[in-house]
Amino acid sequence: MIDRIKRLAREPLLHFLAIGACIYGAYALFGEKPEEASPETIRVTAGEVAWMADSWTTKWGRPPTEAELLGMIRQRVRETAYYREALAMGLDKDDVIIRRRLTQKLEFLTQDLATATPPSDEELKAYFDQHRDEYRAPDLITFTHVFLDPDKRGDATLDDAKAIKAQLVARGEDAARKGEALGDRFMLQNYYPERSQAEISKLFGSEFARSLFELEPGDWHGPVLSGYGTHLVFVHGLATAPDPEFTAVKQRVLQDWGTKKREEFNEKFTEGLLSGYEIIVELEDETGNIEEISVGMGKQNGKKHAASDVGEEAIFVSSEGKDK
Amino acid sequence: MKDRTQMTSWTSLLALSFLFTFTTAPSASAQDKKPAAEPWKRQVFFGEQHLHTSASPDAFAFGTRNTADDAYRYAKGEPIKNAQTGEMIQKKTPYDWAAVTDHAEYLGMMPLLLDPQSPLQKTEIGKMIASGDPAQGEAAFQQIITSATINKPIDYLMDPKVMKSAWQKQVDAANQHYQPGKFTTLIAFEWSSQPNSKNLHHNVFFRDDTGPERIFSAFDSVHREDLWSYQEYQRKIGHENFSIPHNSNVSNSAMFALHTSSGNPIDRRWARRSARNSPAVEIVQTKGASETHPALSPNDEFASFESEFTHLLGSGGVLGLIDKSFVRNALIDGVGFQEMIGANPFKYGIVAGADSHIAASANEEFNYPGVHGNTDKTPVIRLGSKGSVAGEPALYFGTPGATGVWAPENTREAIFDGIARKETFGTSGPLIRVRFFGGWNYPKDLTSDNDFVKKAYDDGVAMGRDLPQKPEAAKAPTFAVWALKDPDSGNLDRIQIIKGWYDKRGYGFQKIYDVVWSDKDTRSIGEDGKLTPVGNTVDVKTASYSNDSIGSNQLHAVWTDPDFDPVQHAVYYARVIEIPTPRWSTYDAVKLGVEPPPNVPAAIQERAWTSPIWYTPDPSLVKRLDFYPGLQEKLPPSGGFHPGSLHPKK
Repeated sequence: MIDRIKRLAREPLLHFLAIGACIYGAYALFGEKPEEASPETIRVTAGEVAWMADSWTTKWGRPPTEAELLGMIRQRVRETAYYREALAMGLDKDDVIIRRRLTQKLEFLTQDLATATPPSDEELKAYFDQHRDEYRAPDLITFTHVFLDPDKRGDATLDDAKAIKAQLVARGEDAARKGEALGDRFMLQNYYPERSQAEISKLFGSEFARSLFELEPGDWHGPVLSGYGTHLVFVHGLATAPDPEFTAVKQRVLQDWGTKKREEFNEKFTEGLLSGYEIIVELEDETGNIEEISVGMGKQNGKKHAASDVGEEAIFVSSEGKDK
Repeated sequence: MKDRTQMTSWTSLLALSFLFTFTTAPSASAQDKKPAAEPWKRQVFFGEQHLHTSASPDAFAFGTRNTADDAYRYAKGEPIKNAQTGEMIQKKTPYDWAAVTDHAEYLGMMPLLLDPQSPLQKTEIGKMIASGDPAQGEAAFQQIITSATINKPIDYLMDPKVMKSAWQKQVDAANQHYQPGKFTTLIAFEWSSQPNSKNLHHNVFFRDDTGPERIFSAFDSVHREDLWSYQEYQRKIGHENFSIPHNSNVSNSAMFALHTSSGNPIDRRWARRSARNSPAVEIVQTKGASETHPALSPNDEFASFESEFTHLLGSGGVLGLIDKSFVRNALIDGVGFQEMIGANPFKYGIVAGADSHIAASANEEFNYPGVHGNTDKTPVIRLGSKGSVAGEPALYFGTPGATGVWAPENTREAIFDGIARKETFGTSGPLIRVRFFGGWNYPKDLTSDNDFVKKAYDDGVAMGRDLPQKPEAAKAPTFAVWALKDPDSGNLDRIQIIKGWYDKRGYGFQKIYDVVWSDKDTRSIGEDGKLTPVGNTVDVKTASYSNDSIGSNQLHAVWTDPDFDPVQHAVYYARVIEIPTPRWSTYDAVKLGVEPPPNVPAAIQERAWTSPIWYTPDPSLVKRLDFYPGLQEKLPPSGGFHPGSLHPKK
């Protein structure tokens, strides 16, 4: 039971609701400007002045002079008066910039909440175990290849490859050291020690790199194709990186955990928010008719609309188009 | 106004001090440095040397919000979000190194103007931006860009403290992403001088990990002699550096003019300072190719590559004079100067770049996200007529180029030294690998030898160097060239060697030799001296091509100059040409289901250019002329460029 309460106490959504309730409560108790005695007063608090001086100092590398500080305060007072007047006139309504800014503020707030409680080591460890492969260093391959130039050999390239491969197989790994005499000249090296798939991609193209890492060590393989031509490949070894250790990558895990938590929380929050609304979008078709469409976020039922610019998955039609 | 005065006097003081310090040109060029042991073990490292992020005011105005951090992550192959479209963009083949080169003018200032905490928001321009009115914001950006274009800085955007911290951010990002052996970054910036809208831009690169304390902008001076003074001073206090000029194609013949900024003829000291401070030049980037132009090279059937871009940067004016705007001519005039004054001012190695303003060096033709943000961010905008920068339709911009550096390892020092040594090549985008050597005793079958590379270094020089002194018995120099295709691009059509020289009458000449090509059984050089074209497999309906029937995966040849004259100064470089592949605009057209736009080619032949190898005759053989007509400034047409107009006398 206590555990459950503890877990509940760490639930970010709960935090959000609790904070929301407090703010709401404060507004309800003290009205719109709890710190002001009357709406005709503009008070610049000591905290605000200190904050102004501070941000000036960080930006310009020195504290403001008295004149500069007074200037900032004057600006602040003027701004407050304008701000209140603008609110009173309703200038905040349907302003693109203000809408965007308020949305942004709420986004910041929710993002912080998602990771407000630092994860326990067990939680991080569990995340790490689930995504172990992402923290593993890349495997490193060591190989020799014999290049067969299709420009030189033409249609015979694949037959030649078969014949040469037979010779190479007969000689085994030994051939890997002198193999190049059997192949054609090639600008890149014939032997590459301990390279990752990404490194091989840069040299031979991604298709070759992918096939290379599927080959069994200790054998001649091929023909393996690249953007250059045909290759016969001997894999000397494939060094698999040791299992990643949690302590070594903990910092990265923490970051990734945070990103994932924020994504999850955002999704949940948006979903919860939107579930309280009925959403109707008016779309105009070619003939000028207005069609009313209700848009759900994946949970609501409805008839799926045909392909549309707004994104296939998100559109549901609730009613037939009607003239307006 | 005070800042401006201070800066100008600082510059002239610096220039003055160097007048005395460097009356003799510095002799220790990178070439003279002891070469690393076992040069034949050098590998190619591909990278980017020209890139803008949100710290560049123009990039910011195009809607770019990605930073140097994003730029380096993209170059490494990580996906980044395209700030303008919200899409993730990613390279197919990552780069080995990159340098972010944001404009020094107002570096990092735009993000501050948007920051409500910044006192800059209280300034006239800050208020326009803070108003939130898109039209006002646009006007504010325009005012800033224009002030840079006409070189009249806005004082309150020039606070030295703010400028310094913005530069430090660039340095920090470069250092954060530097992983020796895996990924190299270079600390760099762009000096964006464009007097009278004639582009003289240079990027400046540093070898060390701290970089300079202060960067040099066109507000300090628009004259490259002053940039060199800055470079020489930085070198003297431990910040080894070089600069790379770019977009000579839109310089209206200012970039490779035959005179100095003050209108005097180029002398030996000027030539040596130029060669020492600018060892390389950018041959292609998104604003077109600067190798040559059909009007300058009428016999070159490949001269029209990405040459649609015709406007002067920022001015909206149409390009007029071009004869001193292109690299091939500069290389040829350079050997003329070598004969006339004993020094070559245009002794350039070859690199290529993006000049992308969205922090993404997207060199892959099939994977092009545009380069100027809001003006070319989607296929619809790119192909439509609306998208334009500097008065130029987005359609006329090419995809970024790539630079290959032959270096012993992937470190800051090795990449820097490789470029300083000119052991570099530029490509129009594909990762073509190419070797180019010159010597006097190379055997005919050298490139078929298993020890080719070692022997080529032992008995001659690699690209970027001077041929060793001619042995008496030698008749003509021999060049060895070897190219390997990009595994993700088209096959190779041919390799050419381009020769430039000055003749006995004092004029420059050029000739192109096809030295090796694919499909030998069906192609030959005809009576007109032209090689049979390789053919074209491009299907414009699907934006696809085939490597099955035409082209080669690698080409190599040993070639001896059949027209060699031992008394003529000469320069040689190799050009590798791919088979035709679709241009980015054709890929876009297929995505949209429309016809490829008619005013650009649907298919292009991508290419690589090597750094040159120079031949300088023994001075005792050369009879110096009294007059070099090829190196005289021609009288400009009315309204055109005039030597005196670059440096108005006060």
